[in-house]
Amino acid sequence: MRASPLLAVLLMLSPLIGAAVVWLPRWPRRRRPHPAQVGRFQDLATIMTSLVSLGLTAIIAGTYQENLQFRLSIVHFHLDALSIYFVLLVNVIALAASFSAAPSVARRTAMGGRDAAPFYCLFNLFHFTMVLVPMVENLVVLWIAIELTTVTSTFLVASERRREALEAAWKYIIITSTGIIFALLGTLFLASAIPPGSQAFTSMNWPDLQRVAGDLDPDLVRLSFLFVLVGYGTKAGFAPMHTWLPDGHGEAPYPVSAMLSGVLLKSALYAILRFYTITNKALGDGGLFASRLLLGSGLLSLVVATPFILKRNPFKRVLAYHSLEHMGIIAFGIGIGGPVALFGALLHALNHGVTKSLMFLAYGSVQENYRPSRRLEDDYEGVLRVMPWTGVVLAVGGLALVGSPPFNIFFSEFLILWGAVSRAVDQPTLVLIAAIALFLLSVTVIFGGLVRHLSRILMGNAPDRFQPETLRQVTPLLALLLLVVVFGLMVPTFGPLDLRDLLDKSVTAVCGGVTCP
Amino acid sequence: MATSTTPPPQQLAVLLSNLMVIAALAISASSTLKQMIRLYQAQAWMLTLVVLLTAFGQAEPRYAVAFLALVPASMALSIRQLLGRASLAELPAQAPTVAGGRPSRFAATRASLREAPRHAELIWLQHGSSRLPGSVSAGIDMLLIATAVLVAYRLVGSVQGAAMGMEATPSLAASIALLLQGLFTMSNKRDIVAQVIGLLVMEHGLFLAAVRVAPPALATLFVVSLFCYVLVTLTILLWILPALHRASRSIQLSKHSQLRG
Repeated sequence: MRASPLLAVLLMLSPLIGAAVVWLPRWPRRRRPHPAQVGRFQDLATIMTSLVSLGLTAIIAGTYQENLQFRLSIVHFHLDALSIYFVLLVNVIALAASFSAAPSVARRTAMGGRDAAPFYCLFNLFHFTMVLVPMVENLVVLWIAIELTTVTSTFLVASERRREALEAAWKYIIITSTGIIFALLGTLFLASAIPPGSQAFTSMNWPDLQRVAGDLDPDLVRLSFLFVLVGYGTKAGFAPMHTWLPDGHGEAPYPVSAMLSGVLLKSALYAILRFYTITNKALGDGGLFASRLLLGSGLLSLVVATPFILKRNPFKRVLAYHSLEHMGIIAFGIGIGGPVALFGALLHALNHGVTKSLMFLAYGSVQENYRPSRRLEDDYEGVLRVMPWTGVVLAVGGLALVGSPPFNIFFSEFLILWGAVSRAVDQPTLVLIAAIALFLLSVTVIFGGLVRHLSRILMGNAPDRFQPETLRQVTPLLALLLLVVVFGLMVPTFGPLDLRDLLDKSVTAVCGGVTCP
Repeated sequence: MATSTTPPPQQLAVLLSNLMVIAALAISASSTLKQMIRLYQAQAWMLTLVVLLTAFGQAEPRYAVAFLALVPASMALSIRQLLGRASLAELPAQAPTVAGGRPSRFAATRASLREAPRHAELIWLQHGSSRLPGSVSAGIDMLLIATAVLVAYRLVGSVQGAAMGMEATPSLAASIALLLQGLFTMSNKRDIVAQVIGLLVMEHGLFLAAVRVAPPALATLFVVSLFCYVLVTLTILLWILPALHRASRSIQLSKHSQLRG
């Protein structure tokens, strides 16, 4: 089977079909099956949806030779290496999260006597909207897709209906909606930068805009990128617009937190990357303007995250601040530019997604299984004794998250640092050297912060009453852990899918289809 | 600046855009939600007229743009009901049953929405105050407007050969001013309903920019995106705000600070 528009359509429609299928048990109103059977059906449908979606993505990524273009009704789609890479990222995390959705939903529905169909439906819709983002060709449609991720995920954040969850959902939607207004205005400025009569004038498709970038008005392009960075940066969780992030990630059900942190932030990053390419080509300044903004934004995020990670906070909030840190590292890598740092930044997006979802899912299992102990979340201790598998996963995942060798995040952070140092050697400037020093300092301090939090949770007094961990809980964690370890040693090849080649092509796509300077 | 060569409908549209900025200034200075809602309605009607003047005030009518007028017009018509619903923790009692039967869920919700503004009236009079004193708020608002005008003129002055021409300057200035004023209203007000009105003012800025500044060829695209934005607004007004109100029994922001960002 080869990459084709049909496969891409199926891949996109798969979560949408899943969203519809979970309602099926409601249909024969007279002979409704037992709630447990309904739950199993919805769970299986969601997992199958994610599995099919990931399988199709792997086929497309493995057999990708040239860009895929197709249209459904009036919407045009365009998949290049960068799009495929982000679709792959979405689907890997979605599959792991869908495995963990059932335990989380079971408790929620048992508590409130509610139907699980809306949760599963929204989960699949959220998955669909995030697959849509990297596939669309038009920058305005891209904005719409990102807006749809907000609508679906808001309901998911609030799905436990607790006061804190509702407050988190409120902050999330109000802050990201405000930000996203700036992103649309940035898109509009880019549209205004196109000279009348140009090929891209009526389309706003990113390939057309990249092609005519040299004709765009530079002042409007600069303003456009500034607005887009503020707008999509709010959604990507860059400081200082990040305040929704710890609340949203901290209060959402844990499979949703994994999706939010693992992929939603990256969807916004994808949008920024598309504008970054156009801006660099339009300004012809070797990426100076956009890179400086991203470098500053990345460093600010890193610095802002550091004290919050050191402070004693509920662990899910600590993990959320780590997302701020890692988005900062990715922005730093893109800001440094060049093939090595860009490769590192894109790889870091995947590594962070995998590791962070691993941590959210592992800690979510702890939350679930410690519930009978009636301990407050601040007093969760002794995980290694009562949940050994999950405890080991948390320990290794935590070490990976803070960039300890030989794990995946160390590898991508090292590549980013290598790129930065090479640039500093070639063009030594005080600002760049100071930026590298600040980067190293923050990463080192953060290392100590998380180790302190983890040692508290893993060691100490185990509770008397708890639920033992199940195979169902441990399976997705071990699968993700395997990725964390393997990606620390190499960028692997899975059958026909050569991830390194895909990443190389993605870096070329970010550089506008040419070899990065 | 509307020059003498600008057709009268376009001059009127520019005038209305400026009036929208003044309405935003008044919204920011209002001390009750009731005043804010009335001013917002007036602003939404002005925007409807601006959209229609832009669509039909030219040699060739732009029907896609005219279609966009539906959004501010329907917001002007329904904002009292929507904000009434958002201000109440519970919906008012259902309408009496029709001919002894139970009304459908849709009919009951519609009837409750119709009743909501009357029930929310007292809440609207009690809320809407600002954190900063009136004179300081007005000063900041004026500063924001001046900034918007400067940015717009600086921007349009430097643009050469792009789709945006000099005639876009006043509308661009008004759009940026509305965005900044909306943002300021959101941060300056003490309750969540007033914050939503700030967001709606920002949305007006975006509408104005899409209609008056975006290249005409791309108007349809932006129209679709703005329709999608309404989805977010409705999610906030019809679901998040009532649920949050039910959970905390208040619309005061100070009562929604369990989380610290």
